[in-house]
Amino acid sequence: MASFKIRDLMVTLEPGWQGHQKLPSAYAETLCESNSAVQDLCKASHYVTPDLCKPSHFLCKGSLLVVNIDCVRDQGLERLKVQLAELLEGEPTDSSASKLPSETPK
Amino acid sequence: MIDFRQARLRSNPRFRLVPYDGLQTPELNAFGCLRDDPDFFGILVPPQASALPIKSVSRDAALLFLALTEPACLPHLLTSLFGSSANDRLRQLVLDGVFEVELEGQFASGPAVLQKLSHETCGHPSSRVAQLSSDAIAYAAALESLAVRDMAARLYLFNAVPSTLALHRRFATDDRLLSFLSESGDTARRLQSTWSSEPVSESWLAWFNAGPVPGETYKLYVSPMLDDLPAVFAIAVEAFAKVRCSHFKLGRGAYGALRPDKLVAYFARLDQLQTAAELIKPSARGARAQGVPFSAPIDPDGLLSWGMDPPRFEQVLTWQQQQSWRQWLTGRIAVYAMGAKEAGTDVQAFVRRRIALDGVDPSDWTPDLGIWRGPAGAEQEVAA
Repeated sequence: MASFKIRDLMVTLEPGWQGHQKLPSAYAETLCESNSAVQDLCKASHYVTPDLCKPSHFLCKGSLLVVNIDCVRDQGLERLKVQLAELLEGEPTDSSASKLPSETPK
Repeated sequence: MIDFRQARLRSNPRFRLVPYDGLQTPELNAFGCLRDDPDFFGILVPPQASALPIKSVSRDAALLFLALTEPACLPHLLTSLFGSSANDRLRQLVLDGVFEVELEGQFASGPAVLQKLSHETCGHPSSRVAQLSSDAIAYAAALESLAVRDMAARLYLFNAVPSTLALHRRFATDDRLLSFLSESGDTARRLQSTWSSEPVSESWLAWFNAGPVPGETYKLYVSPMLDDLPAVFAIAVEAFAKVRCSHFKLGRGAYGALRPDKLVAYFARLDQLQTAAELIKPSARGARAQGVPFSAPIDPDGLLSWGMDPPRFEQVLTWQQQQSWRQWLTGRIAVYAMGAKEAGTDVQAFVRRRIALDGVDPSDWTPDLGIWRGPAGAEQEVAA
């Protein structure tokens, strides 16, 4: 019995992937810099379409809503912003002014 | 329930069995190291449109695959290969799509036949950590165009708190992290008096109070939110010393401090782990828990949970031989989730029922204590 083996290959990543350079990227994105809106935004983030991002990937930090967008693919971030804006009764997001530098280690 | 020893079976004709001698150069480059295993026969390549991973196949597995190229009923061979667990093993292999079983005149396999092969119900999440695990699976199910190993990595990292530039600066060196953990110096003094420390990898800083202890299978996860880490770390270090834990480790840098499984202690016996948890629990009351997905909960909030590292795997690539509990579990879940997605079936239901067949209770992710003596760790019997 012990010699019957069928094993999936390449299911785990190579050694070192947990290292700082190889962790899946995490970015911070300022979606709204207004203190008054942040709490609403944090609440709203829990109602974002699940296929874009999970609530556990959001974190409120002071006046920032930090989003781990590693789970957001392709145009997902733009869709995410639109959804959040709509949830805040149409409040527009100023993406040109709001972006923080990437936090991915260079 | 189907008796597979009496059923007509066949190898999945969409899989391609390639002996080692038939591997082309790219496959040889990737899998050549497997030839050192005397039991290794070759690889099983999934259907072209599938994102499921290539499998390695032992000689006995190849024998069964070749014997079932044409549909057949093979009770003697199945009993010879699997003994009394033939039905359980065949159920797994059919759900994994390697073999097909004749049902109502048609051969079928994979997640699509789950209802016909498993009538067990898998309970709903029974704790906060179990709910996090359930959320992680739903998240994996929503991801598109990912390789299985990338999906496994995202499952593994689920519930990590996003980092910031300020935190990267704050924990840029081990000294800064340790200063954060021991502002008064008490914990630092305790660490120095009882333990020796060393970075064991890019990701972990470890403390030892003895040489390597064989069979440190059981691991305790201590998962406070970052702000509560110093207080809980001090309590945990004291508890680890009391129960003579041989070593524990802490995630390095901002990513390490923000990952859910940021503090892990190892034990040779489960009762030692439980004693350490009992010592930590009352003192750490009030600390906010982050929670480690895919670990077995000890307290309701998920501050403490546990797992069981697998034995060394054979017939896998070198870096897959030594896996942690959560690496192994998230790898299995990624494979099952991918299979269910491709079959268009309920990912959550399939993952739960399939992982139950591996020996993990999907309602709270508690391992069967005999899990590594079962099919998931079968080769350990040879090594023992």
